[in-house]
Amino acid sequence: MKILLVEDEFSLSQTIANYLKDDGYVCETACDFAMAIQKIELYNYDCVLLDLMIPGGHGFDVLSRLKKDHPQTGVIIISARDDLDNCIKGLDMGADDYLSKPFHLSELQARVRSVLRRRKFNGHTQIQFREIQINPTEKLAYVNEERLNLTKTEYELLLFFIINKHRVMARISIAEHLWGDSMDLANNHDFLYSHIKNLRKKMTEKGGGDYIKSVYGMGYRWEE
Amino acid sequence: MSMKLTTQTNLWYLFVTALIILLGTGIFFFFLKDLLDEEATETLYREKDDIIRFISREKRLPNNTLFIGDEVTYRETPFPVQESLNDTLLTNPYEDQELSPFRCFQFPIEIQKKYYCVTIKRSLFEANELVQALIYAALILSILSIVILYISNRWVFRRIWSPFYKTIKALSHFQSNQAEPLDLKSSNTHEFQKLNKSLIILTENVRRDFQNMKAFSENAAHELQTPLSIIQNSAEALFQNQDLTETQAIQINNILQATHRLSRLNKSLLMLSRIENKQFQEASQVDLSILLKQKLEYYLSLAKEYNHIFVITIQKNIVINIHPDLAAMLFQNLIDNAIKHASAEGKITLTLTDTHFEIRNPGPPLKSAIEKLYLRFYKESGRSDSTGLGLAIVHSIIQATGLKLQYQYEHDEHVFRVVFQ
Repeated sequence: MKILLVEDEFSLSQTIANYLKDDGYVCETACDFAMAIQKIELYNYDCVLLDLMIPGGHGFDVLSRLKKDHPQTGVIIISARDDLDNCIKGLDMGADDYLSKPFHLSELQARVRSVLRRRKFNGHTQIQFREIQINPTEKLAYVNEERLNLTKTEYELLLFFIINKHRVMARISIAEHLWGDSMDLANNHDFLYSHIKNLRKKMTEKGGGDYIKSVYGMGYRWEE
Repeated sequence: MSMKLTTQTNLWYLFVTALIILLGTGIFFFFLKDLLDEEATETLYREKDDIIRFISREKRLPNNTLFIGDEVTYRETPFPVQESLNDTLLTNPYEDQELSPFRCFQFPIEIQKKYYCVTIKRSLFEANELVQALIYAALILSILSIVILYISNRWVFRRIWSPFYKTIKALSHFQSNQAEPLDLKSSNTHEFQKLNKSLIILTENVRRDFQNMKAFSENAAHELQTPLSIIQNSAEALFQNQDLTETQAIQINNILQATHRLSRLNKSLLMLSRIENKQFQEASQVDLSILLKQKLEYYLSLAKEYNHIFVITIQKNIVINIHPDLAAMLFQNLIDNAIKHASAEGKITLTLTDTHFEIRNPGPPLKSAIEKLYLRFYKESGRSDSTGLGLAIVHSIIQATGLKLQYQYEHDEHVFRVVFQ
């Protein structure tokens, strides 16, 4: 899977690119408008992460060019200007998703996966991890072909973990993924813990492995 | 109590004019009275002279009264009477036998060794009547002039001061965030011209400062997003390092937590400046019942974690004209606030009716006035997970939409009520 990251802030693009490379993506970066245009003219990408504010031009122009030449490429707008109008405009122009800075890398990873799934496999793709199977279209999870009776939160949690497997995820990134931006109420760690406990229990009951490990002082990791 | 400028000036005018007229009329009255009085006495003396001249010439009493209106009588006396002059009331033959004032002049004369007392009675009635008539005329004239003065003053005042009142009206509608400069009509009065000029400069400064401040806070918030991203993402990348010690892990986690807080703060500030910049102007018909139900789906799962009990009453099809994002933020911030500050295992009561949205949560009474809670960064609780901006956002949404927000503390519960028009 090939990803182009259009972002003018060097240290940010390095961090994101490295993170994505670790996940097995081929990730190239473009730091200004001209370079972005050049790259999309030369190569085919599966997904483009597009900052709207780039030197030498506007991200929307990259987007329209992209939609004209490579309509099958998925686009996620990442912008510091997280205003609704720009967001709606971007989505109207054919972007698949919108992420406002600052975001968690695990969140970005989940969004990229979801876009690729929709774009590349028309959504008909099962996510498989050993005995666990997830059907994102129906939002169902199975262990050894047996359906897990998960709540909405538990399902999202499982999907998030598997997409970000082997990664240490801060509790705050998980909580924000599950409960969104306004999730800033105290004790969120406590009830994140209880959801994880329930998910573990439901999986092991059906004979699944216990993959979610708590990492002291940091958060959780899905380990093989 | 305040009075209109015209009324005040007019009242003073009236007071001074009335005083002058009253004093003037009084002085006029006494002068006139004095003059007529002297005139009457002088006439009596002239008549006496006439009588004496007649007697020394003719050596007899005049046979008829010499002077019209004045009654002259002669009386023989054994010795000369004292000359005297005094006023008295007598019946007046010309005036229906009513008592009226007369001046009696009495003096002695001698004709061929015989003494006579001559009495001349002069009616003062005509003189008094004249004075009265003159006073009436003066009073009527004065009242008339006061009325005319009052009316003309009002008219002149309205004309002269109308630019001033227009300026006041324009100024009272002025808002520091308005798009147009203050529109002041030009005037041909020098002072008003100066006033308007100064006001235009002043309000333009206010407007410019406000714009700058708005632009500053919005730009600052935007500019912060990228460095925040770098910190957050770098910390996350560091997390993946397998060789981290526990202390390092905790420190990185602290960085993440702090960045998260900072980013939330930043987003709230951006939201505030966006609401204040009126970027949510386009209102549409929003079904609050549906919106609130959607919001609550998310909160109900949270409430379970907190052991809060939600008591929800939602009337169907409550539609108001509002920007959908503002409505969503209003609900979200009020519910967040209620959950955050509800006592443990408290009952949160939500009610949506066609007139209002009400949310109650139990908790100890406020330590400060409710207005303070609407200020940015004011925290009643001092909790670190609170940005101190939630109610400030609620307040600015209320101001932007023209809804009404009421707060009450009753039965140990905080009650926020949003009243629809």
